[in-house]
Amino acid sequence: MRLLGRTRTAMRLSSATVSPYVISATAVGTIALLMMMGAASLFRLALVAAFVAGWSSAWSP
Amino acid sequence: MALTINPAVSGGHARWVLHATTFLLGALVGALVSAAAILAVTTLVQALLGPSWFAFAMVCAIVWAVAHDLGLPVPLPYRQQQVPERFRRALPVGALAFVFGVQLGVGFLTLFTYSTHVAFLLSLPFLTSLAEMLTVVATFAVGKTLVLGATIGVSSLEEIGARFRWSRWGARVLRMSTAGVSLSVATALLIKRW
Repeated sequence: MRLLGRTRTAMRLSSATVSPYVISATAVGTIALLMMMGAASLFRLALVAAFVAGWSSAWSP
Repeated sequence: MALTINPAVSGGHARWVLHATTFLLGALVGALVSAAAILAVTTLVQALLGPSWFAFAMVCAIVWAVAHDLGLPVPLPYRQQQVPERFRRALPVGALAFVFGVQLGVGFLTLFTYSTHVAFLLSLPFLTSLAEMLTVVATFAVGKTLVLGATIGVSSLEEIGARFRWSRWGARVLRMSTAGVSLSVATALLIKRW
């Protein structure tokens, strides 16, 4: 029973890694955080864009 | 890609980790090829336009890609095809992971995904060091590989499909978010230049 629970948790977690909502929230949240901290340099924003570009390709048309 | 590189196809988690790492290396090689090509072309364009007009042109190019995210059918230089299906039958999983990694890492050899790809590539000429450029390119390859995380713990291909729950609303939210990220890069680029 415990094993089944762990398997379900693993499935939910791995499913969340490709959720468009999780990707969007991470992207927008990171940009907002960088701006609030006054740390939104071009390098940091390019890092976020690069990561999102790779990650979001799970949802390529 | 998750249907090609997963524990069910690889034959266990240890081999899947090896194949995912091979894919990461391929994606890194592909992204480096793309970055080198972009830097070569943009160096030429910058010599022709001068620094200010070059920055303006790059911002316009990012906004053009953002227009695609927002639903406008603007043309973009991406190959209108997915990775070649015939390779799946011709190559062993390890070699396939590398070849598909390279192709997806280049980015322009498959369908256009989101404007963030254009945004991060066009930001490269404005970064201050080679280390920054390499970090950004490597981050893209890591992001590409993260998608394979959706296959953790699967024992059959049917389980993978269930983890990719596509919805029209989800796709729309993602497009708006990538547009926002790309526009923030374009704004930072303008601020840096002027």
